[in-house]
Amino acid sequence: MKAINKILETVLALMVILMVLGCFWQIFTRFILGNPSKYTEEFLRYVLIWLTMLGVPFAYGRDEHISIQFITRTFQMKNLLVTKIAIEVLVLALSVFVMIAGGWMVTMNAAGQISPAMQIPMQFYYACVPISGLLMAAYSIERFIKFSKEIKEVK
Amino acid sequence: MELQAALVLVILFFLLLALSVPVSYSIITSALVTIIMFLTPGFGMFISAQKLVSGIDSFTLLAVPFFILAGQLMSNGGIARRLINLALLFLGKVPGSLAVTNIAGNAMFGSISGSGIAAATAIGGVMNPLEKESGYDEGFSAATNIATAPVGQLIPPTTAFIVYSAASGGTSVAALFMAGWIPGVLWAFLCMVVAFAYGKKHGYVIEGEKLTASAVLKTVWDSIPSLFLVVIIIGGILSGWFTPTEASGIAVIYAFILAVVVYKSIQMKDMKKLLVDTAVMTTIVMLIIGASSVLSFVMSFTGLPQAISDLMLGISDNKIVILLIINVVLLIVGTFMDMAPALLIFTPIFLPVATNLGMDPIHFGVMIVMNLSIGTITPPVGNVLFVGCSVAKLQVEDVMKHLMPYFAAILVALLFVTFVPGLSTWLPGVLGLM
Amino acid sequence: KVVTGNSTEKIEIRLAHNQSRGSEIADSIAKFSEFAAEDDSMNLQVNIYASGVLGTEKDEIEMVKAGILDMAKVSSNTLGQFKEEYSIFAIPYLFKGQEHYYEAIEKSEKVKELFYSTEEDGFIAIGYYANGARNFYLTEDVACDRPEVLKGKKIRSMPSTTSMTMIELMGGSPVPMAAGETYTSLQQGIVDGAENTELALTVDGHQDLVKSYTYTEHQYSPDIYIISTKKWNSLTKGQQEYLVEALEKTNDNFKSLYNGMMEKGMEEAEMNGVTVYRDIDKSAFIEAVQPIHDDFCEKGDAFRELYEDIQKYVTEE
Ligand code: NA
Ligand code: NA
Repeated sequence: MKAINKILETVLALMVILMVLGCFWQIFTRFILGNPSKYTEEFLRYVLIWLTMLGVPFAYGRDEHISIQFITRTFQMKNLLVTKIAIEVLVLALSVFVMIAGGWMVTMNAAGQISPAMQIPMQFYYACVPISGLLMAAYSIERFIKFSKEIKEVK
Repeated sequence: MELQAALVLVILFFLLLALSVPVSYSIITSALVTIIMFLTPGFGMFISAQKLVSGIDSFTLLAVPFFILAGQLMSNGGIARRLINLALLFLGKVPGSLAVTNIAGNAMFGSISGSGIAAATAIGGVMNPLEKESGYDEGFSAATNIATAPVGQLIPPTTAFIVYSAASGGTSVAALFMAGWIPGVLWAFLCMVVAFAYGKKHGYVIEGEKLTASAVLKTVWDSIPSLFLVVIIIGGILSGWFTPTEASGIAVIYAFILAVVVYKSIQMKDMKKLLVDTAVMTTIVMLIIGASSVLSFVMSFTGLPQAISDLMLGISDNKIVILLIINVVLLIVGTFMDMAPALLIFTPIFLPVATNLGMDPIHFGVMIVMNLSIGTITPPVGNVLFVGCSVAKLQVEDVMKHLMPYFAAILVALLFVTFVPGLSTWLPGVLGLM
Repeated sequence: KVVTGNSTEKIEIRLAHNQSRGSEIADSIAKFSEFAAEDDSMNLQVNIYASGVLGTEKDEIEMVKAGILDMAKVSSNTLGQFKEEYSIFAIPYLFKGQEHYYEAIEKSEKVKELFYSTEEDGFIAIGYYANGARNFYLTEDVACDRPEVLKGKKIRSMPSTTSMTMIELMGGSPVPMAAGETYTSLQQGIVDGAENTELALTVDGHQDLVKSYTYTEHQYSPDIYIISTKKWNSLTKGQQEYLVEALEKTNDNFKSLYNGMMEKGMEEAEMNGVTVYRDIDKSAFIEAVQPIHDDFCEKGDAFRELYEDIQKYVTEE
């Protein structure tokens, strides 16, 4: 998982730079060249989509998604761990059914469809969902194992 | 069908939230279960995956990562201190001057960064220790900082209005930006009155040293580059040079030059962490937006917004009563939920009711953002509240007593904003944006 | 899918579109639901989701394709992303006028073929919606009758390549942006004009900001009613025919209202100080956009045949 983390980190940082450059290019072509680029706007939207979908598992690995702790904070250690394990099961199920399977469905359904500006296959547009799902599943399994070990120690 | 759907949605959602399931996953799960109850699992899987992507595929939302990155650069850029010096210059002599300065600092810094959390940290982090040195009550100092940290979410530029623009089907971002200005300043001003009164009562006055003209000039001069960012963004949008998305990109480049080249407060080797943090923060917001669009689909498909609208208009056709109900509901929602999901979920429900009563979508946008901003500083769940407390190294309980007069002032501001449309619509109207 | 309504069990057909609920256009689409319910023995019930509550047009087509949504009314431009031939309707000056437009879509065999060509992909088209012509309007009072007038003018463009190319060829400098930003952009001078049907002046309020509206009539882009193959095949022959008839009735009803509706809108705009230029000589524009016609035909035989077939229905006006 460490290697995946490192790769994702670099990819995400590069994508943010890519977005800044893309936005700069849009302003440049409009103001300096007087001939606005026809592709930047769509390009930026698609980068943001991929950035989000790759960032979701990465942020999950860093435990950064917003959640509400004020009730579970009062739980006893063992109950807290049981809750955490249950959450991992839920997240794994969502990753498999929504992101991997559902993502596969929308990707396949988009066969033959092309994007309006860049004319690229729309399967590329949706492919980030199943990929994100696979990564999510991996992170979630890792955390499931971690919490399961911890719960044994509590006993 | 609507009622069952609503019950399943709401109960499941709050149950998952209470069990610490991340907000975005709570939204997706409850939406998915509702779809499956009424249709088929395949339908639910397809729709969820599709909406996760198409919900974030928006021209308007492109500004979100750029404003986050600009905010990151600004928060780390030594800008807070310069703005505080500027505020002290003008407010140093009034009773409760440090508290009043904290408020002015929050307004200016929040205006630039658009994040209540960033303001609470950057300004409160400097002001709270200063106030302690000068003998201010710590709980009062923390409360002052917390109560006014969110005003930057109303004073432009701010991502809250960008999200609202997307949720309301394309209300003009430029008009919303201008509309938020007066309500934001009103919020800050009424809180200043509270700080002033408290300072006067407790004799918090600094016998300031005489200022030399050159010191004044230097302080003003130092703060200009920071404040100029707002001029670029707002001026650029108003003058017709940039679209809001382009302006957000310019903000990044400007903040980068300021922080890295001019102030040299960020080094290039720190950039990667900053970029990754930006990506993570963007991801979290965008996932919530994507998840919320799964939820809005479910609600629309089951006819929930229409049912709630009808229900509310059935209770009363009195504008004042309905607006009060909406405010109360939003304040309660805001105590539990974050800004972005709440905006995305409740805009489609309440906006039709509001426009039905003759309310302008711009005015409604200001009202909903203000309500939800208040939610960020109310218990049990309030990001800015928690951050403000941790900056001051206090517990929520220690701050609550001092927050009460501020809450009263903010509620007064909210009532004004709700029932005096001109506070929101006058400025964009004068500038011809609506 | 069978639902238990308040009457007997009917076949529910869910139709989505993106016109705002309560607008005149949305009201005219709602007639379809009435027409489809007229004959009780057909057992059909059309439920309409307006205002794009189910998603963008792209989302709606994907749902219809997957058999999750039954029907959608979408622009032919959006359909062009799914079946390239539909982009023919984005060609400026494809039609010589309103009569040609109506005639060609209703009678061309090639258009009929196009409507059924996506059956394997999961949907077919079973009707059209006679959206009116798009025209240029400017913040300056000038008749927009040749490319020189648009020279150096920034024109709001739909964020699509075709739309941007068209504005370029017609002399202007395209600025792509979301529809919701157009009003503000006209006000602030980000753009000097835009192109759309008359409704943009009245419904979107652009009449407060622009000085002239010229009937360039450069684009007639019909909206298309699509239905999922799955739903279509589940209906009896009688129900299928009945549904198509209901759509034709809806469209005829709309066509009879359209010109009057637009005239009323323009009267209102003229009272607001907008100068309206009618009956201009369009030949300079028609010549300027010829490359778009050529490009389309060069895409292949199927494209050329469709193009040529449509040209057979030119009527003297
Ligand atoms: Na702000
Ligand atoms: Na709260």
